[in-house]
Amino acid sequence: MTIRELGELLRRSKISCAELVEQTLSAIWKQEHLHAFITVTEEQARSEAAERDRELAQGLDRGPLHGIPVAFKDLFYTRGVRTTAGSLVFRDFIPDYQATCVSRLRLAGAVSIGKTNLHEIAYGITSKNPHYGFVLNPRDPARLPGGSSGGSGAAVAAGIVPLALGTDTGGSIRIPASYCGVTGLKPTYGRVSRYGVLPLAFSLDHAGPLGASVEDCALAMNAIAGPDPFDTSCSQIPAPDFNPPAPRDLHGLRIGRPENFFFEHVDAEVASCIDRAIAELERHGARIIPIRLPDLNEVNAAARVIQLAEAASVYIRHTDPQLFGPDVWALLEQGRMIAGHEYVSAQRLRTLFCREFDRVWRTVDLLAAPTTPVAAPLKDAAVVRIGSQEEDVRMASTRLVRPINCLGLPAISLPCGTTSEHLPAGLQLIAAPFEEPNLIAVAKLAESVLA
Amino acid sequence: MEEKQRLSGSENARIVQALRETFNLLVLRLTPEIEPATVFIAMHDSDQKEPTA
Repeated sequence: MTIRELGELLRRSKISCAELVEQTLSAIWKQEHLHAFITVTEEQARSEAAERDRELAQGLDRGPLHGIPVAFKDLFYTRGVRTTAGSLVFRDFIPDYQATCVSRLRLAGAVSIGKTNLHEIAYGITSKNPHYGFVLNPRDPARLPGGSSGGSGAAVAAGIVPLALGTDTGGSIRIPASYCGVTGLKPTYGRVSRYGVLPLAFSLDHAGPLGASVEDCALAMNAIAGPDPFDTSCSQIPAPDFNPPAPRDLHGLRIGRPENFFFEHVDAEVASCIDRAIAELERHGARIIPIRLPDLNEVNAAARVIQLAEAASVYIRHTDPQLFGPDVWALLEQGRMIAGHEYVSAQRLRTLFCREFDRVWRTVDLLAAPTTPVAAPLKDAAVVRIGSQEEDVRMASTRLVRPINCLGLPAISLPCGTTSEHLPAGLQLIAAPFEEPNLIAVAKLAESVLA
Repeated sequence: MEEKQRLSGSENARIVQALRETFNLLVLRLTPEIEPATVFIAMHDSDQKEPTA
């Protein structure tokens, strides 16, 4: 159920916040095999729900998130509650303060139900966590849920919670959204505070929501976005209303369908889902403009250099390979091999790429593209086959999303049909910096016509 | 290579070298177009000022 549907039940007294928490806990235990959660904050959730019920009885309604159970990727600091980052390094880490996102969601009335599993230290896309269990994809347990916010994606896809927070450094919100068939929003760089979020790559990390609907993500953004004095990388631009109504039609809207990069090496069934979605948007009045983009393979190369170097810096004091899974340790080792001048050059290129990409927004308002070139891969697959070519699972999964982190643009992934194997395909809509309200409004219309 | 086996130092070096070859060509081709004073801390936010020397 969506936040709006649950909110109506709560306000019509069809269910209490306490009962909603019990239902959520029961759903977590029933689906424990998904390994979606690392820590379930059962008692805290019961206590918060009781307080939210008392408030409603006294006429105090904190808004749409009042009494709604939410989960946090186990990378968000939660005061007094273990925050592992899916790692052995932090297995006993109990923060004494709270991430701004966590504080803001709780202030908005959300009930914190627990901490979701993830790819170890958020550095990977399989969410096959060697320490806290492999996260399964609720749509098909034989498939990868994506990552690194795999537990958040699985918890929403399984209907356990309508909303979970994730982080996205090279696609880690949008990939699980695509593979699990839910909605995930990576905001503009600086739009959402990262205070109290364990970093992976300082200049690429973004925090954002995964939800059962576009509106769920919008409601989360209304709570979490905006300036934060505790995070100096957070923009000073005031947060607008992220939950505008869906437009009646899309007349006047220019949607770019990329001629290069985004549709190259994409599974035919996924491409066909995306093109059907674009045709629907056109049918509702949008002007579809074929557009040639700056070379995003180049952006990806710079982004990989930045991520390798920054992650190696974050984990520079952790030198025991036995504390890390082999895939994560290999990436940390590779990061230590990046030279200083290479990192600086990558950031210089990034400035150029951002400037080049700014020109795109003179021609179009949004871009429409696949989130991932394939639907959820089999969980033991090392490669995916696209046409006659094989590609490494990690490289394929991140290829269409990673450049958007480097450019710092807002992007949303929403389900847009299924393949012949009943696996969801993800439509990625990308907008100019700080254009989330328009992005969300169009995504809402897309969601309604693609359902 | 996911969670199955640890890579040796030389295997990691080979992966980085492959990335480096593509990347360094890019740097050589594109960096002359970047003004030396351009820095990378502020993004999309007119309120944030570029640091000055």
